[in-house]
Amino acid sequence: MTTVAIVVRQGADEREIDAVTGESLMHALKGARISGIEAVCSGSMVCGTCHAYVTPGPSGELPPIGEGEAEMLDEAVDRRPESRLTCQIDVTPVLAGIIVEIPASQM
Amino acid sequence: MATAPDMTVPRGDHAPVFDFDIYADPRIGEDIQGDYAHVLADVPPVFWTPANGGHWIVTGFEEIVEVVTNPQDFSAREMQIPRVPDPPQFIPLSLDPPDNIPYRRILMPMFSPKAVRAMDDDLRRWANELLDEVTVGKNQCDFVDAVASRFSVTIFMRLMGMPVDRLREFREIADEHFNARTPEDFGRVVPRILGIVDELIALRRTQPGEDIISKLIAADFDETRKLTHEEVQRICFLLFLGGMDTVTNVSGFAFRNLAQDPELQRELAENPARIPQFVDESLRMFGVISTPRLVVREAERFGVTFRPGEMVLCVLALAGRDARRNPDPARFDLDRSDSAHLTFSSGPHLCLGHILARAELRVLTEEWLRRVPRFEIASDQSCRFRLGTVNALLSLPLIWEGGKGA
Ligand code: HEM
Repeated sequence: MTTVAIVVRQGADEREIDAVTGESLMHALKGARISGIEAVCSGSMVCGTCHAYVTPGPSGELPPIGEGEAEMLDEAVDRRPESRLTCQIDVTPVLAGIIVEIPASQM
Repeated sequence: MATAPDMTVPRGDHAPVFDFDIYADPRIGEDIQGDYAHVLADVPPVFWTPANGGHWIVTGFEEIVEVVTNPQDFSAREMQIPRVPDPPQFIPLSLDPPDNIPYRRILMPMFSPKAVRAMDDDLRRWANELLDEVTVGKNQCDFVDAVASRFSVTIFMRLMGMPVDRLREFREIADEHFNARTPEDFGRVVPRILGIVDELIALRRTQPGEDIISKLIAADFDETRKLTHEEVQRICFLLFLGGMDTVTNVSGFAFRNLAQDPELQRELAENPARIPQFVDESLRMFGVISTPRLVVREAERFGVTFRPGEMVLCVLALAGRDARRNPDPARFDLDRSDSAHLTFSSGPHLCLGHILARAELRVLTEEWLRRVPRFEIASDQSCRFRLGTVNALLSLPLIWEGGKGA
C-alpha cells in the first residue's frame, strides 16, 4: 500500500490529494470530501454521479474504459473525451500526477 | 415513551434483540422518522426483532451500505417480511447482479440526468395545471390527496402513456398493494395491476408513442433480442409501484415540515434558488422506504451471524439520521455541507428514478411557493399515516392566508 498524489480541479480551485493504491479513485475523492462526487450507488456502476474529467499524469496511462462504463457515460451531462466514472479506476502507481476535473454540472 | 436498553437482550449468538413491529409498533406516531430515531436511539445499528416472524433490522449508514452493496450475501430476490411462498418478482429489483444489468441498461437512458432535464418544462406545466386548480380562489386543501399524490401519479402516468382519467383507480390499486400482508392480499391485488399493465402493453404494440412502454417494447436486450411480454410486464409493475407512492410520501413529509416552519417558508420564497437544498435536506430527513434483503449465504458482519433464509430490513430513513454521518441529525439545516442519506438506497438497485424524483420535488416546491408562500397545518385535524416497508403520510390538511376561520 502506497499513496499516489493526484490533482483535483473544481472550477478555479486546484488542490492535491493523496490516493491510496488499491482503493478506487472515487473512494479517494470521497475520502478527501471533494464536492461534486456523490457516488450514490457506492461504486456499483449504475448512477454516474462519480463522473469526472480525468487526464493522465506523466505515465500517460489510464485504465481502459469498460463497456458498462461507456454506456453510463453516454448518459452523462457534459460528456467530454476525458470523461470517466471514477469508481471504475483503481488507484495504482501509474495514476501519479493525474488531473481530475469535476464537471461544472455536478458542483 | 418506553425506550430501548432494558429491552435489549442477547439472542443465543450474542445478537442484540429488540422487539420492534415495523407494521404497527405503538411507539411510532405521525412523526414516523423522528419516532423511529427516538425509539431506536439506544439500540445497536444491527439487531434482531422477534416480530413478524423474526428478522434483522439495520439502521446505521455504513452498515446499510454494506448490506445493499453485497448481493452475494444479501439478495434482493425476496422482499417480503414475513416471507411469503410465491413472492412477486420485479425487474430489475428482484434480480441480483449480473442479471439486473441488461435491464438497467435499457431503462437508464429514460431516467438519466439528460432525460430528466428534457422533462423539466413538462413537469412545470403539469405542476402549474394542478396547482392552479388547487389554489386559485381557494385557501385550503389536503396536500397529500389534492397535490402530492395527484402530481406524482399524473407525471408517472403520462410517462407511461397511461390514460389520465384512470388516475384514482391506479392510485387505489397502488395503495392496496402497499397494504397487502398475506398471500391472499397479494393474490388479489397483483393480478389487477398486471391486468392494467397488459392493457397498456397491448395498446402500445399497435400504437407506439414516446412513452416508456413503447420504448420497452422497442428495446434490444443485450443487443440480441426483444423483451418478452412478461419482462415488459414485470418492469412496468415495478415502475408502477416504485414511481408513485414514493414521491407522494416524501413530498408529504417535506411539506408537513415546511408548513411548521415559517422561517424556512420565508427563506425559500425569497430565495427559490435554495429549493434544491430544501429537497436534499428533506430527502435526508424524511426517507420513506425500508428495503428488505434475503440472506443467501452465511455472513459474519457487524459482530453477528446472518444465516441463510433470514430476512434483513434496512431502515433507509435512519441512514440520513445517523449521527456518525450527519452531525446533529434531527435538525433540518439548509446549509449542511457534505450531508449524506440513503433514501434512494445504494448499490446495484439504487433508485432508478432518483434524478426524476428530485426534479419532481423541486418543481412542485417552486411552483407551490410561488402561489402559496405562507401556509400552515389546519390545527384541528391530525395527519393519518401508514407504517411498513413504505412509510406513508396519508393526509396533510393545509390552510393558507385568508383561510383561517373562513
Ligand atoms: C422520492 C421518491 C423516491 C424514493 C424515496 C425512492 C426510493 C427507492 C428505493 C429505496 C429503492 C430500492 C433500492 C433497494 O432496494 O436497494 C428504489 C428502487 C427503484 N425505484 Fe425509486 N424512489 C423514488 C422515486 C422513484 C421514481 C420517480 C421512479 C420511476 C419512475 C422510481 C423507480 C425505481 C425503480 C425502477 C427501482 C428499482 C431499481 C433497480 O432495482 O435497479 N423511483 N427506489
